Amino acid sequence: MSELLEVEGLRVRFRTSGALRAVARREDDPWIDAVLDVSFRMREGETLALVGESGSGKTTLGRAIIGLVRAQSGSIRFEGSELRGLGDRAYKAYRREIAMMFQDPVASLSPRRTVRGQIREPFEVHKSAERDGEAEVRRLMDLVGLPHNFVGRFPHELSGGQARRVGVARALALSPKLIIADEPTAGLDVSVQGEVLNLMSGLQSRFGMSYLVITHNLPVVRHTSNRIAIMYLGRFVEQGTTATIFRSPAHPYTEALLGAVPRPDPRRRRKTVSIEGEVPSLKMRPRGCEFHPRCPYAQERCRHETPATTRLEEGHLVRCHFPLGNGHRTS
Amino acid sequence: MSAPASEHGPGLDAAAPAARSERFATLRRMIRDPLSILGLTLVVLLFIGALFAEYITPYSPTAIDVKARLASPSFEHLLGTDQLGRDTFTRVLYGGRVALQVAAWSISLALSAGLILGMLAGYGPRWLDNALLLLFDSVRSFPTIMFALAIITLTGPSLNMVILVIVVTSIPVYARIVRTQTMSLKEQEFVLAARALGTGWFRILRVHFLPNVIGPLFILASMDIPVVVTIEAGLSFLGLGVRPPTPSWGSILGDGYAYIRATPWLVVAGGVPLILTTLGFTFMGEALRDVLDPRLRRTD
Amino acid sequence: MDPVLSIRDLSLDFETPPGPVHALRNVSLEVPRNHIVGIVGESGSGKSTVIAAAMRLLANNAVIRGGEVIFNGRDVLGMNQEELRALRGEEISMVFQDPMTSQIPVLTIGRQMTDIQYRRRNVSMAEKRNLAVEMMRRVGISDPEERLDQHPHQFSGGMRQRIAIAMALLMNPQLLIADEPTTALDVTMEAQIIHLLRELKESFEGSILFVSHNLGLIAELCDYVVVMYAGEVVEQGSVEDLFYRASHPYTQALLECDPARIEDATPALPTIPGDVPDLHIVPQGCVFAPRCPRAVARCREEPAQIATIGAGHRARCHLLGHE
Repeated sequence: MSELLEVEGLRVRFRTSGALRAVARREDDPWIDAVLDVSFRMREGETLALVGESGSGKTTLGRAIIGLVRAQSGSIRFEGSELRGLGDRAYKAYRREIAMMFQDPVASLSPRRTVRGQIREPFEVHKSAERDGEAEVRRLMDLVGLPHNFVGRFPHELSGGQARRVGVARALALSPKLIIADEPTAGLDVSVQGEVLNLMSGLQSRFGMSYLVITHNLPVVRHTSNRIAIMYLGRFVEQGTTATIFRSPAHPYTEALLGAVPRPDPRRRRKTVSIEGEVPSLKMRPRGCEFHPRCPYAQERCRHETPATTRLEEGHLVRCHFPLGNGHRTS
Repeated sequence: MSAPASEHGPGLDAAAPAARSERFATLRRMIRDPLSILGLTLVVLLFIGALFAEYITPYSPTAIDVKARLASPSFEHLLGTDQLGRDTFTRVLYGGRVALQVAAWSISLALSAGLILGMLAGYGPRWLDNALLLLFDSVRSFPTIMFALAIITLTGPSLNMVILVIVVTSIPVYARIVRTQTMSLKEQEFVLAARALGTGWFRILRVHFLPNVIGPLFILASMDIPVVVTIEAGLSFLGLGVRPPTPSWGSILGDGYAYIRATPWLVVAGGVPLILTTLGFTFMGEALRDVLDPRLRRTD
Repeated sequence: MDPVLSIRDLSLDFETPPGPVHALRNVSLEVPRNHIVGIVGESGSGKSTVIAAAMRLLANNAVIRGGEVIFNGRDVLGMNQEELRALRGEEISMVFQDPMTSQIPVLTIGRQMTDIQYRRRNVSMAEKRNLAVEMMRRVGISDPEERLDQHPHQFSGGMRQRIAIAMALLMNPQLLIADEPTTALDVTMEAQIIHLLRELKESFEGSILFVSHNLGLIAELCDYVVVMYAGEVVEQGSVEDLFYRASHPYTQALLECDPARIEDATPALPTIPGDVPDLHIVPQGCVFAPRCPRAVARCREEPAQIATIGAGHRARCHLLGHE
């Protein structure tokens, strides 16, 4: 297994208002950082989950990797080549290798094209006409378990689960090495969720691609990913193997997220809320540790000093002054 | 976790197989609707009259028969004759040809230009959008008839000028509609999905946007045809459209106006086709909307 | 005490061009006073149609085929428009899924919250505003006096859902219907809203009908649970009955599918094979039979009858002894 994707110190900024307006209003800093100082590596065939609340920057990070948003600084290396700063034309070659699945299964399909058109799109864009188009469509539909008589259907004639399968087929078309899946189970019923996840992991064991799964659904992540990265206000606050994160979360935010998942067990109802308040605006990042206003363990130091990323053990990184240890945990 | 966006009654799975037959049901409903039948019939009759004028009537539209001036309708002259003894029915048929010619040229030119400019304005960078909007609004601020009068006074009356004037003034209308639709499509996730696949902007506009914006535009165009026909008739009525021997509903109407004391038939012959054309295309446009617009199709 | 809401044998069709969709068939459920009842089901189960019927907020193509909806001893299906308006404003209120679209964007929150009280004719404007402030405080919004003058877009999604709850409770309804109120929110916010609903339940005199597809939330919040599938109630009982003594194969399958209930990490998640049936045709046998792992010949031939398993615990299944 070798490194497939290496992201170093990535930063994505957005302008909050137009340049002229910013000058007119004398705003010092018209920029907000959606992704800040993010570093991670992915190996071939592994699944990494990016987990965070809305506004954590997880979707922006995914889009930056496939070049849909520009990263300001840092680097994105895919199989050793630098992707950051490439123009659309140069990026196109890598879009055969990296595919993306979007959040809304139906809305991410072109509304006036049939299932056939949706699945053929990648071949047409990348001029892969050498292969027999119709046979390829059939092969992909078989792979994702769509009956052949669906080829002529339009997106609005599909259920969420079926549309999701079309999305998987389209992502799979050019045999990419990395698939970025933004909330692959959003909007699906639990019974269908399982089908889609099983399909994705089946395809992974068959073709060996990597998945970068962007989600807020922790129970699902637990069964589908090898490693997890937790994002808060655009930064990675913790990353580690799935087992480690679930067994001994080191960052108080991770612990809170895990505690917020409702338990389907009426005898173990939670008496308290694991995390109060809400994610602060990116325009007003708190000083010191950015999580301190919501952190139940915050101390004086957390209010002033920004914590650095520390390594607890091999592959388990946390950005916290007082990581929760085994004996340390209070809950 | 998030839930399905909508849940009205049956599951999507249940609805999906029915969707295909639903389209046929819409067609069937359209055929059953008397107004759309009326619209379609009028439009078809108009086309037949204009295209096969030579075969329908034995007269030439410009053949003068001084002996039979201002005749009343008879089996020989179905709608009578005008002040030069020309067969009015023949002139109405050939006038329909002129009207349709003007409509076809001006609408298709305006439609194509509006489509391209509108998609560019909607999808392109902000400055392009602003520049095009400024252009559209400036053009639209001229009243069509005044603009036409001004241009034709400068260049002299001709059919081409009429078409040019209509094209120039209709482009902004189409372009604005296309622009709005493009902008709302641009926000949708499938555009990101296409870009993530490496699809370029030209292909996004051509393959993904065009089929979405063209349906509503056709409906609009169908409803605009009578407007264009009326503008042509109006200019010809004023003597600023087609040149005299060529028949036009407007010039028939103009002659009728001049000879209204001698015979009412010329005014009827020039006016009724205008009314029928307006009704025909409007009803047809409404029927088209039911078939082409998926949103309306799905809610009924 | 009789229940606040009782739906008996409700059957409802939607008229569509290809023919009627039998969206609800013999649905019966009760919401006891001062309790929280959850309706759980996947999309297409008819759970939203049930609550729409309870408030008579049905689409134009809905046709009620039979049954009754009794609210506080009064027949909702027989009410005229005036009675319905009074019912909806004062006695039943509703919190919707999307907090971003359920408030009027151009009016301040305060204006909207005083407007809702228009039926209180002899209460002064200042008093109405005080009630609004009080309600905002109860749903956990700090500085309510100032925040009442803000517009909806100035609040986050979680805050807006809190405000929606405050608005719903302003007229002291006897029944609060919450339709997937946390679906559009993050887990952390979801936990806060659920906690808030539970707290409010302690302090206000009323019942909650909570509609969700999330079993975890149902377990956290509800006293009684109704499980719906393809337009029928397949099982109902206390929350403990449902989570520890699930009897209907569909309920069991649904519980098995929930990844949050699977303790050990597994690459192959359980699923329910097959699709929700097309409700244009009323199935001859049990509605779940085509997907049921335990279906026998009888299940495909005759409709399932309701079997009583324990006090208040019923399931619609052939395999549960009711001979």
